[in-house]
Amino acid sequence: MKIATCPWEDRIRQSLAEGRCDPAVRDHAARCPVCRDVLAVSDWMLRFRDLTLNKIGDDKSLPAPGELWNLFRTGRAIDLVTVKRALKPIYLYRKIAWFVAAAGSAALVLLEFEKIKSLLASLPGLSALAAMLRKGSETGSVSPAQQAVLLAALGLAGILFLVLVTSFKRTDTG
Amino acid sequence: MSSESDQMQRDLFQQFYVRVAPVLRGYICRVCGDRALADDIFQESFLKFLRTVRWNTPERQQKAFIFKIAARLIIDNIRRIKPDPLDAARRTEDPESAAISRHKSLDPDVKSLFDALHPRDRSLLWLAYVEGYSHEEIAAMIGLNAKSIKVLLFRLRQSFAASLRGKGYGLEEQS
Repeated sequence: MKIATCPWEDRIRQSLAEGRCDPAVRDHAARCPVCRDVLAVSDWMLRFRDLTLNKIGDDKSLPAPGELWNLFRTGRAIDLVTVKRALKPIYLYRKIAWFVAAAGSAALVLLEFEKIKSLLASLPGLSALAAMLRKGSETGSVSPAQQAVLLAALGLAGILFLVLVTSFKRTDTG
Repeated sequence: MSSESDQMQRDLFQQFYVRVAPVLRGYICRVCGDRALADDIFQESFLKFLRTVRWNTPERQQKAFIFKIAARLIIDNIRRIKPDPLDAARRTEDPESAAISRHKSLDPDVKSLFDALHPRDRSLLWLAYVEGYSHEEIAAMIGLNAKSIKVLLFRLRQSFAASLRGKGYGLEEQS
């Protein structure tokens, strides 16, 4: 399809949109079929705009600029990127605290290993369990797999106990 | 210092808003259809504009920028757009609306031709013939290339001008 164009086209549309149309444009449009169409469509569209603005202006007034400005400022105040940036040091310190606590606990276990061992041995249930396991492995009545399952169950029970204790603590503080 | 600059920006925004808001709302309403969606897009356009605007750029550029934001938001919401915008009153034979149409000598057939267009085409016609943007500017707003815009606008102009000629809406009437 051949597209009929005219170098005046953009100029005519722009000048009409800006509310001015000099006689030279009208003269040219009278001679040029492309610009005649441009002029007719522009003219109709501008009347259509006026009608639209009248209609929506009658129906509802524009929101106040201050209202939008405040909305923008509030939106900026709770901008997620800014919030994330602001919370970054807190997350960093929390990670450092976890690391220090883990390293401290490991150091404590290594330094006071004998004391912890004797404390655990003094617990009646644990010493009986250890004796049973030792006896079982010597006689061959308890296989290594059974021993591992038993130890894992004990470990799991210990973790569950810790979780319960810490959750009680959170409820207290909360 | 910061509050001074804030106040200055607020003043600049107010001046810009007074000049641009009515025409922007007209554009969004005509292209979109339902008022609630148009209001949402209008507000979102200004909020996005405020987040990224540079107040030291020329006003034409700022205006083109907010029209670009609105055009993109309209495209994003294109599925929510209804085919026949704004003139619900015309469909229900509202006498006041009909009186406005007669008074402004806008043929209802041509208006329905506009309303029957795809939202993108309505947008193109408005940006080209009401706002007077060049093909390149419209291309940047809509996200197509300038050649495509030229072809699309040529087709739209042809069908529109033919309808207008059919209604005896000629050059003599405009002057």
